[in-house]
Amino acid sequence: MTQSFRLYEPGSSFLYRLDPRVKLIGVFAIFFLSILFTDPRFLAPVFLGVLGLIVAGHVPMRRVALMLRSLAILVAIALILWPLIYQKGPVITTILGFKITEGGLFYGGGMAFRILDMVVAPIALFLTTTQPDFIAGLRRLGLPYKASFALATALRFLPTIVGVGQSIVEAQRSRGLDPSRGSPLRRMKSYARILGPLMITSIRIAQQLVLAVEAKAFSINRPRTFYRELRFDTHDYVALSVIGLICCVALAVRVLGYGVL
Amino acid sequence: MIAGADLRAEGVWFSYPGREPALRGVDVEIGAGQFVALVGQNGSGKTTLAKHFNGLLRPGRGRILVDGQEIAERQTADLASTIGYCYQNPDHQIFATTVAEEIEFGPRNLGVSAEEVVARTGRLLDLVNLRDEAERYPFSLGRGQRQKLAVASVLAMEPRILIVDEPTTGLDWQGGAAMMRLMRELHASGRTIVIITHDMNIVAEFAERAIVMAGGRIVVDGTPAGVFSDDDALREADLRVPQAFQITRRRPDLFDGQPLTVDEARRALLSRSTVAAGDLS
Repeated sequence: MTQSFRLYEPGSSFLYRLDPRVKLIGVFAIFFLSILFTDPRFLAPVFLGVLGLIVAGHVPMRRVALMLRSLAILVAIALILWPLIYQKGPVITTILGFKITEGGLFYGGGMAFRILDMVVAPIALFLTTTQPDFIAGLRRLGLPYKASFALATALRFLPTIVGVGQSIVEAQRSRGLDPSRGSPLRRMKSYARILGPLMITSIRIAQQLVLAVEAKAFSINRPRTFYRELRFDTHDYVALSVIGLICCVALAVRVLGYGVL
Repeated sequence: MIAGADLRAEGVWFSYPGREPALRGVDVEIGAGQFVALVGQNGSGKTTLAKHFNGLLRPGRGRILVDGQEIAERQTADLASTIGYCYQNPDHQIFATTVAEEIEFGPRNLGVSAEEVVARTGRLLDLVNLRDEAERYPFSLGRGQRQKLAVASVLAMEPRILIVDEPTTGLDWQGGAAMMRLMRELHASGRTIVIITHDMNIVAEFAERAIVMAGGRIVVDGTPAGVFSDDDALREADLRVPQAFQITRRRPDLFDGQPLTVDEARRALLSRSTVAAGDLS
């Protein structure tokens, strides 16, 4: 009855074989590049690069395309709103009294690619990395144990909570409440009737969980060892070097004054 | 008296997304005013079938009829005044800040007049013995009381059919017995009652008819005594009959008419002249 929220799709390409730490660092590097530049002529290649990796790494395109489609609205908003707000350089045209400048159009394009870069990279990460590997990677990169435990637990309980939410919606529908009907205000009230029980149930689950992990010596203060050993291979070192090189070059280019509008 | 209504499933198949079929061609008719127990192990399809009757789930193949009308076009919220569905976990439906408000919620959704809502709430508070708790915060009630409140809040819509998923799960003996007495009263007042359970003692004591499910199919359907005697079907469904019945079935010479419960067995023994009444009291 509960849905699966697993993004991971099994595969065996180089993206799957990379150490999760390298993949995480790669994603952070893409974040870094996306923030470093504002010019679409610099951000578009980053996106194309990520897409290239996705294709070369046999990441299921179907899933990626599905995610990209849900991003369409955000991208459209960036493309439309930024040119209206951001004004720089020669005026190209005037729409409904708004001056549209060349700089504005470029900036809108840049922001659209920034969104794409920063969303597609983590999606590729989740599609090629199992949840335990992802958590282990974060943990080994220095995320404190309690924080990574909380993150893993949140991911683990997401489907549970969604399942409870579905049951609550069904139970309320059985009592004549249809949250998809009526005026917006009425609909908001309907959702309040679903959130109440959902919060109470979630808090109950959390309370029980706290007791359960505490009963298993969760807060013991001793260095923890790892059940899941991660080891760097040659290809991991190569990938890290490439990431480092790209970041250094990008930083140098930026310092020299390129890539910003 | 509230007249019951009848339910019918015709060749119903259903699969949850990406899973094996949960229902594999279920045909069943539940007549108005019956007291039916849907029995089976976890995952046998009993809850899935029950959720089809008020449109929470829609058949992949086949159709569902309520009072002879196909329900494909009707929303669950519209069916709520005909079919009441009580969830296994009362906490999934309780949200109001007082017990009374919880009961009033359903009929208000249906547009019942204010006086009528107050009248129904009063009657239901008495029926489930929550009159003194009317102003309390529902989540502060005990589990048994919350379960009864959940039933009352469904009954407030005066459905002619009541489907209750696991009425006694999580309750102590007293709470469970009170719950089943309530079911019996509601049945006596004319409603069609469908309970989902895997407690065979409850089936023996309360149901007029037991529908046993396994692997998404109905494996046997009949009176509790008839169902309990069908060894093959029970083995397929992995169910065990009540101990009292195991004994009475083995000694038909001692127990007339194959009693199903300890109480009935005791009475059957007492009615025989060969056993002195004092020995068993």
